[in-house]
Amino acid sequence: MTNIILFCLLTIVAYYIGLYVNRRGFGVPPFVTGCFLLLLALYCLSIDYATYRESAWPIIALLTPALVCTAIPLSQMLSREANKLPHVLSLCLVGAILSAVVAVALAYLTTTSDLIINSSWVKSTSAPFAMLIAPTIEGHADFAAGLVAAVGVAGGITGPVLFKHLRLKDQRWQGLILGITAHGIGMGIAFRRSATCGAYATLGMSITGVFTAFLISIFL
Amino acid sequence: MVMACYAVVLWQVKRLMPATLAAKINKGLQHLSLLFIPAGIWVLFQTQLLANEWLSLLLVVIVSTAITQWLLIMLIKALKLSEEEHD
Repeated sequence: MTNIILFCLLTIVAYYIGLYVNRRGFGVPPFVTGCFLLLLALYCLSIDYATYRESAWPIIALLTPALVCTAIPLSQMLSREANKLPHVLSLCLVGAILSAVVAVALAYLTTTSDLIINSSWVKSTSAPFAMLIAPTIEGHADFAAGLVAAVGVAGGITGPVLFKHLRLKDQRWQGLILGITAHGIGMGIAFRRSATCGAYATLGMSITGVFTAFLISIFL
Repeated sequence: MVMACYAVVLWQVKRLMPATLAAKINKGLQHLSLLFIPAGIWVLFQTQLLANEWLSLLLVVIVSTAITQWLLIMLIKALKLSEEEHD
């Protein structure tokens, strides 16, 4: 019991420090700072992953309700901007297929590790989706979620650079792309650009996750 | 199961949930990445895997994401042309 409280608190404190660093304008996603701080803390206390994971289950268990919560912004957007819906849906479908196929193709060409190849299928979904889908296609839930987080950080950096170079100025589509390719972390970046951008990112993230889940359960 | 819950929330949320709670949840979703920290820690513990497969991980994580974003931007530019014609 003390372990549970200790490790959950440690995780949350690490995230909060990350949030503080992020707010001070260093632009590092709180997730990255949090991870490394927590790793440092676990290393100093010489705790292995199994012990940590056993006690941090409340945080992991929250993933499923969090996943269901992503339906809320989706439902609000459905009533508000219904005329954009066909474009949004088709872009998310194309995005879901493209990112999975490109990732798996690159993984297939460069590695023989089944873990990486199987987990690459879910790299463009948000982590709660990835953690639920990955075991069904012989990926590893934790590895998939870690991959997803890394993809989020990378997409959050490459996205704005590409928008600038290719002169995509419409914040709605910027948000949607960030949501499709960089999910949770891209959403955070999109919300900092503008509320519309963030709302579209949430939309992109939820719809892409649902599409990937369906496509994978149908085709794999 | 999860998908069923998702569908119910999607269709019934406006009837069942007060708007203030929905707004709170939207705010909370910005901190979704807090829940991924245990998973991120797991990956950082796999030093063997990271050392052996860094090239393909790098490709999957950065290059494939950038390629997807680039293709989507191109697609949106093409779509936008047709949108402007309608207006």
